[in-house]
Amino acid sequence: MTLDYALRRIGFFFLVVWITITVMFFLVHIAPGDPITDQITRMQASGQSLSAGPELIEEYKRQFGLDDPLYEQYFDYLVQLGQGNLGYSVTSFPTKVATLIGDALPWTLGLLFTAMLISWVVGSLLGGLLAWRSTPALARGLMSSMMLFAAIPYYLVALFLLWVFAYKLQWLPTGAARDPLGTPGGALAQVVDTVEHGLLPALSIVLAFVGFWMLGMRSMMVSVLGSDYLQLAEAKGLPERRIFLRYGMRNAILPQVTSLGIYMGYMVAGSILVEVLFAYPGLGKVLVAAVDSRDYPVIEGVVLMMVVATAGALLIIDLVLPLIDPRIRYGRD
Amino acid sequence: MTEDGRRRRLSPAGMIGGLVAVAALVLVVIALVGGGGDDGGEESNEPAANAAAADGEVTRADTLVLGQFRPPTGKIGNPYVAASDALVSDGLHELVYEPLFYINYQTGESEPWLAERYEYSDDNKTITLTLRDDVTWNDGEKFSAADVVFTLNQIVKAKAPFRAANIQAAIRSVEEVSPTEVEIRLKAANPRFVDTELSSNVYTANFIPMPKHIFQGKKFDTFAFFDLGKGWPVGTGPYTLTKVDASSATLDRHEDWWAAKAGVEELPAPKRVVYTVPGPEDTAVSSLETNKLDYAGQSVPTVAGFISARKQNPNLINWDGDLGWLDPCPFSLTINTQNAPWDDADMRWALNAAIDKEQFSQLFNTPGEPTPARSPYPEYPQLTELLDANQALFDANPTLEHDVERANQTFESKGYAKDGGVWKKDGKALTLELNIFNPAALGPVWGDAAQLLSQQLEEAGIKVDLKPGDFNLVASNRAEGKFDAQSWFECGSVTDPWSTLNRYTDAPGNDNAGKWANARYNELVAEMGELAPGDERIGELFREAMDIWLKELPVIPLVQRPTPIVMNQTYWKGWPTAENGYTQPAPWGMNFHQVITRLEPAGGGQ
Repeated sequence: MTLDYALRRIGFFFLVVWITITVMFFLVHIAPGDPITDQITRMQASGQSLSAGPELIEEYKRQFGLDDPLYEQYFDYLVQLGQGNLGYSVTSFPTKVATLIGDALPWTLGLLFTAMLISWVVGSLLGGLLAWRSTPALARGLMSSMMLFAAIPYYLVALFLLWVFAYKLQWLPTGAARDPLGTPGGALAQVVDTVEHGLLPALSIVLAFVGFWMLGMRSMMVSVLGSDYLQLAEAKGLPERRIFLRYGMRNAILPQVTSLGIYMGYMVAGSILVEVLFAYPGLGKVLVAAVDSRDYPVIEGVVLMMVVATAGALLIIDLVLPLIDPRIRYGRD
Repeated sequence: MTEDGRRRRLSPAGMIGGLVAVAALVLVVIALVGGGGDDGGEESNEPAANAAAADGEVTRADTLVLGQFRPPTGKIGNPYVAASDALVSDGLHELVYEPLFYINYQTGESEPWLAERYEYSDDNKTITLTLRDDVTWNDGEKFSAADVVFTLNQIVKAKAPFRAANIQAAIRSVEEVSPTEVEIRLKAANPRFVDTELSSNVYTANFIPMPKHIFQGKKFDTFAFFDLGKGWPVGTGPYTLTKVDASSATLDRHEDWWAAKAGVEELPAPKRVVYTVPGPEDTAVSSLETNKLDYAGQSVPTVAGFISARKQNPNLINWDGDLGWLDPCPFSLTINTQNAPWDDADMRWALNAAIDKEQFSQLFNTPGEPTPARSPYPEYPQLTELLDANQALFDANPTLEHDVERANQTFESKGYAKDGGVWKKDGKALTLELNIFNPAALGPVWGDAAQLLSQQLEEAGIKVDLKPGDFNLVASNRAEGKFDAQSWFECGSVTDPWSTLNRYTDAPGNDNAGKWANARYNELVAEMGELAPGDERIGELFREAMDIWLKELPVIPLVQRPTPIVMNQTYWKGWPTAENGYTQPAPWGMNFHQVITRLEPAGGGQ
């Protein structure tokens, strides 16, 4: 990998981010409605006769820069972004967008990172075993049934889990990230409480994605099964477990690593429904609330995070893959 | 390094183990730091010495858990900052702040609270407020006329005081006459100013006094007034906000509440109040069944959800049997009176006759009784009495009558002829652009509501151009007049009839989105507006104005909105019900203050 290659990939990353946020900016602003009219109309809908309504709307639009021509708003947005300023939420003014995102991001990352990692590990192992010759048929049958979940959207899995474990059995909480009544006890009790609340949303992601990872790993494993190095390892009489892990899994897992990176990025955006269903306080919930009230700065901030997460994951993979696998070479070296 | 000098590569098992360990570590860190602080870094301060939590551990039986209809946002304690609306979500306007007066929908009375009384000058342009002299802010500072005058002056000077724009527009000057007396001079006569602007009226009070000793020197338009470490927001109410996280807001009882010390009220029984997100319908129902919630209402559960939950938990009650409390804002169809042919009152009446309001209402109330709306008024005691007294108007203008034949006759008389089941004139179909809430705006029932309404109108031969939208889209179309008919709420009056009538005048800032105008009606309403509520001349003016309104029908009243207010008697009793209707029960309204002071432990969980 050359410096030139790395710079090109980084440049491409910024290009993707710029194009996406530009499209998003104009889409959001062109869409009908605006946060100020929304707030004022909601107030009127609750019985207020605002004799100074139009002036109020004009003043707020001026304060939030929404009365400028769209291209000026766009350039201002880019300048502010360049200075690391995501602006203020309109509906939660004077709270900064960065604060709203900063508060929600750890929940989203904590939930998604953990769930996705677990599903990747379990899915890859099961996928490898599914293709492995000496895996018992019964185990293969059981593992194959896990693939059913790959065909079901994760929010439907989430609804099913909610119904069984939260409504019917009442073993786990129906939503939120913590018990609103607080948790008596020390740090351990808080950890248990958080894990309890995260279990169902995480499980819905794990179950939905295990099948996906299994499919990917199985096909890769099948492709390495006839390889010379596997036959050599067997001929050398190496233990089965070692051949499976070191010669089979190790060579087949590379595309899985790539996919994991990509899906980590996508999942930040894809978690919205799960977060809404479980009232989980992550980025998805912030985005839904912002869209509902057309809170432009918050929508732009959250989407930026999602774009950076997705494009960033791809960039990291592009930069890291040549280091992981010597067979991969980019550039002229 | 291995013995042979080669670097040891991590085995797949090692990699997997490492990743799992990292994942576990992330979980622990998230749990401990609370998601980096939730909404506000889990803003929390040590309970103040005078807060209930300081007395020791607060149990479930000491706690009132409210499934509030909006996620707590917190971080804003100043109700006047630009365009934000943080009051309802974390109990601030209900339990931390207090108004000068409460309007009680049930009794129709203005009940003094921080103020003792008010007096209007003969020309209704000057108001003298007399405040209580025994009120203290929860940080121990004395509440006085200086706080009221300071807040009003800040409102007047502010660029755009969000909720108080009307106050800003109306006030000429404010003066502190004494520590307990304030004189407010208005630009124009307004005998309702105290009721509509200085009292807890519909949902909240537009004027909430802020503590001068904290606000002085701060920028009024942008000061967040939120720092739990400093004890902000500070109010005069019975509770103090002690914690806000992403899922809930916690308020602890203020043991030194002025009203308890003054003998005005006893301390409320709940030592702690937790506002939390009820979640979707199933979650709310489950939480009510298992006593995790003491209250849920407004958006969830539905009537059916309440009935289902009550089967599992007989301690659940509603305001009135299966149906809930009537929301102050009935649903309606605003008709754009600028768009032909709906600029013709006869055509609007034909539209009204084409709608089966009973059937439409049944959608919302199932399995309860339908509650079609005869007028834009909520059927609260004083208003119902007034409407009943004018039944002759409704006999002459039967808004509740579903009469397709009447609609047919009207269309024929206007030159329309039926062709292929659709009324047509000059080759053009009679079309109605119907902008209606979608499920994302106000819940799943609106999907069915849109279909049903379209079906009813199409059966009457009207071609419906259905344009469902979320709240923002509907609001945007409303502002721009992009609709023929639009689903909306008719908020306004709760006791005195003037506010609702005033919605349809051409006064600036009114929510008269259909742009209906009638000069005589405007005169009547303006005249009524200059009379104090209860003035004997109001009845006559109302009759004439309502007669014009009904004949013109600028808005088609659809349904009264019984909102399930599900109250759980497992831990708390004394909830307001139709039988014991001491005040309106809505916990999202400022008057919830009057409910919590009457709640008593029910012994649940013992």
